[in-house]
Amino acid sequence: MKRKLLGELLLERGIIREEDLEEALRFQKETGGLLGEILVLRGLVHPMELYEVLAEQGNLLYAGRDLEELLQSIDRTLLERFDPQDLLRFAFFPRRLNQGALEILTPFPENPHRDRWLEENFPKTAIHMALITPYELDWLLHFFFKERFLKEATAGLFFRAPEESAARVLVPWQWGVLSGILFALLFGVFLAPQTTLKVLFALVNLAFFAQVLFKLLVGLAGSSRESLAISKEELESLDPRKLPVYTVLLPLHREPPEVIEQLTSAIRALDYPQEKLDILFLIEEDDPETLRACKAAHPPYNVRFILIPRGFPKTKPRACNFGLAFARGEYLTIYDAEDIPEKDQLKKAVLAFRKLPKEYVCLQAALNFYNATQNLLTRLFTLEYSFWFDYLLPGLSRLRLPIPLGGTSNHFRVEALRKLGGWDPFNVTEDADLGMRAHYRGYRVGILPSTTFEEATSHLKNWIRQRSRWLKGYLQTFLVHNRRPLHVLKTSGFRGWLTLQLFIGGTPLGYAASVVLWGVFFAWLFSRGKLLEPYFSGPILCIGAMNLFVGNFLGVYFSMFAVFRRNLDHLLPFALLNPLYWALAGIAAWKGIGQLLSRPFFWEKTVHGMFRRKGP
Amino acid sequence: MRRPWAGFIALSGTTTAILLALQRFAQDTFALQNSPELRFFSLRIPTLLALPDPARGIITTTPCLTTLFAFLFRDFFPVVAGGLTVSGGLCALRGRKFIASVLLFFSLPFLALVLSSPAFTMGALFLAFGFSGLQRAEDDHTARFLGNLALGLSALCHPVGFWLLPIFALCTVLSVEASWLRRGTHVILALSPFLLFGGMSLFFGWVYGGYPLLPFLDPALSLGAFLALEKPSFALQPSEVLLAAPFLGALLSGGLSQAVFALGMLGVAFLRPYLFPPSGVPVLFGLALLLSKKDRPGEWLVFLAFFLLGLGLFLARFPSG
Repeated sequence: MKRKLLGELLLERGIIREEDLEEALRFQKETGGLLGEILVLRGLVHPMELYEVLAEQGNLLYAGRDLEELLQSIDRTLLERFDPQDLLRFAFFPRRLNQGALEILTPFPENPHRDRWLEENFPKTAIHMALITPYELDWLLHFFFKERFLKEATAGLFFRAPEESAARVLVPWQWGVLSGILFALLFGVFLAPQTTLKVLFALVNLAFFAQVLFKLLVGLAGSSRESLAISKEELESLDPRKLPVYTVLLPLHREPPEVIEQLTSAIRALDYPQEKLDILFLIEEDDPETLRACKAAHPPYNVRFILIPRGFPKTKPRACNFGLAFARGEYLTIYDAEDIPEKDQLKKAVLAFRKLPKEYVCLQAALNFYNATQNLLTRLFTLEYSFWFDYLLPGLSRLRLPIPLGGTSNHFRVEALRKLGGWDPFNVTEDADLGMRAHYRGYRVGILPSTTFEEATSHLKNWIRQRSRWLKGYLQTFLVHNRRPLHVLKTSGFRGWLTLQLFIGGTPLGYAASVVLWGVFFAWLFSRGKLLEPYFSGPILCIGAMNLFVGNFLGVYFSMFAVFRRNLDHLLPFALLNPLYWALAGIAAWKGIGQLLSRPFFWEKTVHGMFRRKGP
Repeated sequence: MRRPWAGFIALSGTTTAILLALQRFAQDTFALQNSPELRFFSLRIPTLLALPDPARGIITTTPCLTTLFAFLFRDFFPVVAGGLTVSGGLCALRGRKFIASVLLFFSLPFLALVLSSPAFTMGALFLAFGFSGLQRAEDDHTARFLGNLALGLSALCHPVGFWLLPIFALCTVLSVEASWLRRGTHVILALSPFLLFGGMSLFFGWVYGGYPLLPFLDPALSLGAFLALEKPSFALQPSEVLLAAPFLGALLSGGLSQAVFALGMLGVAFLRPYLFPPSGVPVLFGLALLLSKKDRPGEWLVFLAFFLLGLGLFLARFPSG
């Protein structure tokens, strides 16, 4: 007997209208998606109704009607024979062994890869199938395996490569060196204060000078034209049927409803076939408000809610690692709740990955702000971000140096990300750490010519919180990768090692030192050079003058150029206020250093949604 | 070139050796002992050495970078400055009419200019790179950035560029086809390095001496002030005409733009004793305009007006006889 088509069955049952079916079929022809998925994503069919009909069509049983009964029917001892990653990869769940036959639950009855895998692992075993929706599959996996996922998300990296984990702030020899330096300084100050201070000033000034030179070279390299250009024609010529599944991780924590609404709109606006988008809202179990807001926003059906179990450390990377276990895409990206990526960003990423060699495992898109002109702080933040993402990171990429990834909009090849071990949950700038780790393991990070717009923190307290976390994370990354300096030298050469010292370590330490140096500068200025005369003379005076004028100027000037390039000319005069902004960063750096010693894994949450809340 | 640094070092070495030989054996031919610029530095160095902290003297002198060079290298300052300038220039021009550039940079007038006016040569070359970078800057941010920085660095090398400031600002405003906001941005970006670097010795002059303009008024502290007191002579040496021969090579092999550049440098070389106020510098600016792909009548008008003004000021300050 000829099997009835899905559309016919849905029409017969009165679940959809004929015109809806026609439109869905037309869309299916264009994108090559599954009809059921298209109908669900368009909100025309409820997933449970669809699977009821699919079960009828395939002469199968739909097992998701009564979840209580379904849970009780699962043979827990059987589960021990399976790796949850395999279950996710092949999209099925083992139910029980019944008279020598293995009963499985799956949303996709026709899956040759799964069938082959089962044949290899359960030879000569009959397989019986029942249907469940993809949401029920996630739910089952979460229910039965969440402890394993959590363990992997939290301690996976630490157990596999403890030397790459920030779970320990300092290893014993680092404690030794640090203590040695501190003792030497104390002795020096006690025995020969003037010489010690002179040497200290000289070293700090030389380090600053080296950092200025480094940033100049990197900035110059980044100012040249984009090496990875993606044309409009290339984007238009992409065949939607051949686009891969793309996972989007959205770690959400204490997000206001308006931010969730904005996020939902941004997801719907993405120019990527919706049935090929695998969107995961990662919500902490102890955050029911966000869960409620997410449900209230009625996101599309390609959004899955993944509840992150309670645990320590409560950080974004832990949530992302947990989410990574559920990712179905070939590629993956992370956005923050308030992000608005350019609509074609995912397509651009797919094209870029296709163009680039396999060693490129990650692409970083530029970040910028939609509330640049909200107040002085957001203006200065925009100046900084424009320089960072439009000059420094492209420069690092062009010079083949390690790139500390930015907080969001990093696009990965999922396979490589899993090989890398995901993010370090103990590092509060897990993204920067991951970029460095990838480089030191022989991979490369590229720059994607696309921008994601975020909300710039507009409140000073909030900004200090965010910045102190970033700078603390940079210090964590600096300390972690400096545990094996020879390994870093061997894998990425002197330039890679220098990047770690000057860029990763130099950023927080430079900010921290700059507060002190500005104080010294003003003391020198108001005493007309007399107060610190013994310390600032000869070559140190020349280098100090160079740092003061050229170093600070280059910082200001690069940010002027960066906003000029983005046609944000009205922000140009504010670049002159950058030294004030750096002083704030210096305060944040000291806070970060303090926290590194007292609460190294504490995640200072940045409050989002301030801009929208204040807006009309 | 796969190893640009190696090329740069080799080139610097060769140039330095040639300059050293010329300095030793052709002092009289180039009349180096009459060079006002060399005299300025030779007078300034003992003053600096007599200070309790020479570094303080260096940073309050205009221009401070070339003063630092002169302080560090003393008699060899022209050789080192020339070596760096020539090799830097050749590296910057690599791949673009390289043979012509070599002919130009290694020509005797140019080397004579380097040996007799090292600070001016460095400043003028930075200015030339600045203009050239800005001409290519329309869609090339690196060229714009480097061009503007080069203009700024020229302020650390020789006061010659201060004269050029208003010309440049006005030309920039007139040449950009954009809103006034955008034009203003261009001007700010172009002038910021120059103003800041130029203001360095003013700032330190104010901190240490209590009066920011002191370096510009005291001939002992400012090359510009010193040169302004120099008595000029327009007499052209026959040997200088003969020295122009190598430029013909550059002219023949390098095409129009190279030829114009070569002739400009020749003009600069001939004017070398009288380069402040800088009659020669607007020539460089004019060259950059000539090399520009676009027809820019506005820029030309402003350029000509300032050129005439400069020449007028120059002649008024130094009446013939």
